Amino acid sequence: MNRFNRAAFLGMALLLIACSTSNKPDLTPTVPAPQAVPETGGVGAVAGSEQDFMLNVGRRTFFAQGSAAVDDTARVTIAKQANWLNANSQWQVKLQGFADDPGSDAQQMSLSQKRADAVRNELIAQGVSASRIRSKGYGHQRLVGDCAEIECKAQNRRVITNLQDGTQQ
Amino acid sequence: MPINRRDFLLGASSTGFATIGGTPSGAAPLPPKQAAAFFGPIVEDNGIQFRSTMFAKIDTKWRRQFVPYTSIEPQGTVVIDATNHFLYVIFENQTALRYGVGVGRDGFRWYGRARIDRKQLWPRWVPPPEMRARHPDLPEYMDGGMNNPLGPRAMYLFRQGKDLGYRIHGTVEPWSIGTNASSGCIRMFNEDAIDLYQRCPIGTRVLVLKVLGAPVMNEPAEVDGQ
Repeated sequence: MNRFNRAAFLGMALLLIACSTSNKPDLTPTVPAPQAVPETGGVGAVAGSEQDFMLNVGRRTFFAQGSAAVDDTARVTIAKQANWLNANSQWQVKLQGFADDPGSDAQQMSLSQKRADAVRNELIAQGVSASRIRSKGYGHQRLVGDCAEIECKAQNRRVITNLQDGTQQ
Repeated sequence: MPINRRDFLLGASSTGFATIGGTPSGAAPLPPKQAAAFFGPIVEDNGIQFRSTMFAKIDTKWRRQFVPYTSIEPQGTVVIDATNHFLYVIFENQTALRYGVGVGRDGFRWYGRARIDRKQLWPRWVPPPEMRARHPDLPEYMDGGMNNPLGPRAMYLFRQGKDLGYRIHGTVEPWSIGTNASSGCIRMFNEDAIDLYQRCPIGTRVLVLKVLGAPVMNEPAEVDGQ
């Protein structure tokens, strides 16, 4: 084994000489079984804390213009949230929906509520108890950025999953 | 002409410009035993397997973490400090989420504003003509997968509707995070690329600075590869 590695290293070090010998380094995996739970990579948060949720899961679910549909990316975000909430049952959630879309204030209020409800429904479908979830639309309020460009609007078309300590309810 | 991954691996390692399974890189090639130490178990993402990062091997400062951050940039903006190899996502309350990144090697760094106009899961890698001219062994393209140097996610950077040719993406060389290794792209640990992808909707602002606090140079980015 050691000898093989040394030979492989020499093969790399000599570079141009060893072009097609058999002892090429190759990291093609020999371990077949995928692991279910990869490490998330974040550091500095206590597992199960609100900061852990923000660091390793993320509170924001984004939506396309004029839409309350959960797209593929949003579905991943919500699935991660559901996994975390299912493992940390001490938390309740308040879903806050927002809009920065074409239409009247009333239409945007309605859209923001639909967005919050869409996240709620998806969380419930992923096993989070409905009794832990409240959802509310805020319409065209609390803008992250106020401009006509997509840079602002994309950030505003969101649902924030706020954690609330269930023991204090 | 497509070539299979194994051929590409052999071809790359035999010419010496690339590390194992990597894109042409300024990162020092690692002997295989050292390289293997940077990888954890094989994990699966959207039906494709990749080597997880052995974070125990990674200096804590390159790992994703919250830091104090004062900025006039709006929430959600991605700010990259090219000199110090950090990428920040601006949060509320003077906080940012910081990630370690690899940036362009000498002659391949660039600065200025950009926008994420396109995102892709398990992106195909198409080395640009300039890169293939430098490295004729490269394939014309490589489908998304474990040995694709873009890793599991790519976010494509545009300026005023024009593709800059640069991307924020994962890596097959986790040891190159924190170094000047790429041809201009911003590379991250694969786990971080997956994480960032969820946080950046289409339209996300990106600002690449020489260092934090430096004036914004909107210099014309020369498109010279990945």
